[in-house]
Amino acid sequence: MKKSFGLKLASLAMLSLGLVAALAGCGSGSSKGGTTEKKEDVTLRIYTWNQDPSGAKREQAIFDEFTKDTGIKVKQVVAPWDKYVDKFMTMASSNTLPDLTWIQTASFATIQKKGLLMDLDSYVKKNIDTDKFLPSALKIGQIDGKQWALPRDMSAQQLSINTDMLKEAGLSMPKNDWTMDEFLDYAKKLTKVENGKTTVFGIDNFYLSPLLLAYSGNNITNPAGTKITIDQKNDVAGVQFASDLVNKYHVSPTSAQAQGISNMFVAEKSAMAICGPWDWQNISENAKFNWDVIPMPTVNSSSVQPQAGLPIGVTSQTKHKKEALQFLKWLSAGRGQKLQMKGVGSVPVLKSQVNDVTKTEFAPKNASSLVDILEHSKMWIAAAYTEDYAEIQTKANNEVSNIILKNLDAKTDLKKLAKSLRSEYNLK
Amino acid sequence: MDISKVPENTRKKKSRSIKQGRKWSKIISYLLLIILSVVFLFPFLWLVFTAVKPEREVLTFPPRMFPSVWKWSNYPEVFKLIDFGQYYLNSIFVSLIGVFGTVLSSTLVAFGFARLKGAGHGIWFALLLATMMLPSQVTMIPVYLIYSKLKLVNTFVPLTLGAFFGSAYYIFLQRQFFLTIPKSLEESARLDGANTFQIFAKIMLPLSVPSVITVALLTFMGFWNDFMNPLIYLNDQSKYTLALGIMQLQGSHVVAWGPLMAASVMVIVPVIITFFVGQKYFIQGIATTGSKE
Repeated sequence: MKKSFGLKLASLAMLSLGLVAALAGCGSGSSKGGTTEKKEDVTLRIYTWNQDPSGAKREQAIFDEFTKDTGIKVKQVVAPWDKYVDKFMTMASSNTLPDLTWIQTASFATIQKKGLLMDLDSYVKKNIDTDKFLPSALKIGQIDGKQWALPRDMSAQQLSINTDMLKEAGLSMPKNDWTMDEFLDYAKKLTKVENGKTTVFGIDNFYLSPLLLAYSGNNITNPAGTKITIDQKNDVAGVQFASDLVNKYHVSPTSAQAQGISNMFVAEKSAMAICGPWDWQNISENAKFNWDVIPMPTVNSSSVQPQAGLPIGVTSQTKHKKEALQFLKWLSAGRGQKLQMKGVGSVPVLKSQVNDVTKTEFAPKNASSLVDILEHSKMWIAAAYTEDYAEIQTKANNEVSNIILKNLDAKTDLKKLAKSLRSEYNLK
Repeated sequence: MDISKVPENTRKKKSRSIKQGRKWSKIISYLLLIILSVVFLFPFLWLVFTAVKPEREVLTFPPRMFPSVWKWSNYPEVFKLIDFGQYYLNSIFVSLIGVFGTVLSSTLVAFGFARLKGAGHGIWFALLLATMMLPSQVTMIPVYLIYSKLKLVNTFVPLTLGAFFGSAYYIFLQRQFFLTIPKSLEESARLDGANTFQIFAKIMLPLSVPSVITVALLTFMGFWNDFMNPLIYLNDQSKYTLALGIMQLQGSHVVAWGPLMAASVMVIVPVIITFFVGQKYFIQGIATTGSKE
């Protein structure tokens, strides 16, 4: 037998291990967080997720403008939305967090309590003119009254409405300050039944949060997250209304009737649906009908509009604090605002620029109603910034789905739910 | 009963009815196979046709199998939206290194467990099998910390280096195959003057092609479809592998269904080709790893 074969195999193994080692070399230079040694050549890293398929590329183009303005390079670390927190926590465990991070509201309190965000309170007081911001904008980045993040954008959930169906039903566009009773009347008139089967529903799934906000101004808890409110009179009425839309008035589909359609509104299976400015492009490009937006209907003087927004924080592990803060200011209160609106359609948080959103490419006719809400309405992001809130929300959503599915008595069921939530999470 | 006493026409009738019985059982078998194939192929065909549907037809209700307009541009669109070519190259690279490392290490270790009897041989093997019970989530953070300390995060090393240290499942699979090879062959080689490594390389490995290909196929699919490791170890988009890269087509607000399906078709093509090429060996490899001399 030739002895050279074994040698060849051994050499091949050494060669491949060598190759792996070489790979390590080629990767580590630019990588390991992109933290560079030379002072004059700072590269910031910002942790983001993709809002739409070309989102990361368009965000990078905006960040490159910051580089042009300041000479500070910016690199994105992009993760998928549903794995965002997993990767964040893994990076945190090895002290390699990027310098800045977009924050998912459900995990905001968790990462803040773990000490992974920089306290921005004194920086904001000294360096940022807070009067420039829309009334509720800065609240998006506050926990217990302290500033931990700054908003990149702010918007509100509204209802999209198929205006062709409105015409067909002989209805005019509702007024911006319409009530829940008027909404129900529209939903009934827009629902189409053929041969005993509903072919078009008045409204796609009416989410729990905006309904509770309309009925009581609370969500499952009060805004501070210290008190369970879902069993209070107005909240019970809200949940009962959600159930009635499906079981009594038959203007909203059960999950079986929705048949897994991801967007009933675009598929022309519902005349109205909850939407935000982030949906405008998708609807404009895919809907074969005319459409518009209308604010959420109100119920009483406690009604609050559902707020949406994207907080950006500076991580406590950054080695470039000064540059990171400079970048954050640029994004939230500087030239970045205009560029983000143009580049990715985000709604500005600055009073002076918010009107420009009505002139964007995919803005519907009544986009000004959104501006009106942002400027004048009482708003809440509908998630208390507490560590347990995401869990509480999941449990409440499951129970409410059960109430709707089995047509249960909302009052009795919510009392039980509230009792168990109070004892489990030690809340009032 | 003496068969010669059975009348001729009765025998013919019996043989005809047996033949007919076989024919019907074949028809039923094929019918069942066709029905099952359709059931299993349906999601794949749905994927293929959705990949050429315009966006609004993906959302149409009632759903339609075939597009009214064949939108082939979904395929080039994938390359415009993301750096698909780069991700493809990265995946090929990582998968090939991973397959090489796994096959090399697993066969070597398996040979040791199958043929060499050292101290505590059984205990070591049991310990190896016990590592299969450890969920990867348990070791994820500690392993990440090690690579992080070694400054190897954001390189391909954490994705591939582990392959060179064997995998319990593949070692077990390979060992079972080695046990089916007669010891007499090994003894003959030893009489001819072969050393242990030569026996492994010149006798055992060539005789284990089916199991080696099985290990290679399974490893390839594992590396090709791996999402979690690239997710936690890779930060630069230019280094993303396919499984992670195509997730960009699924935004938090908007999903590009057509391009996403087109990308998925392109992602699974190598897996299908690899499986068809190695199918014969794969079945042979799996079927024979349970038997022993």
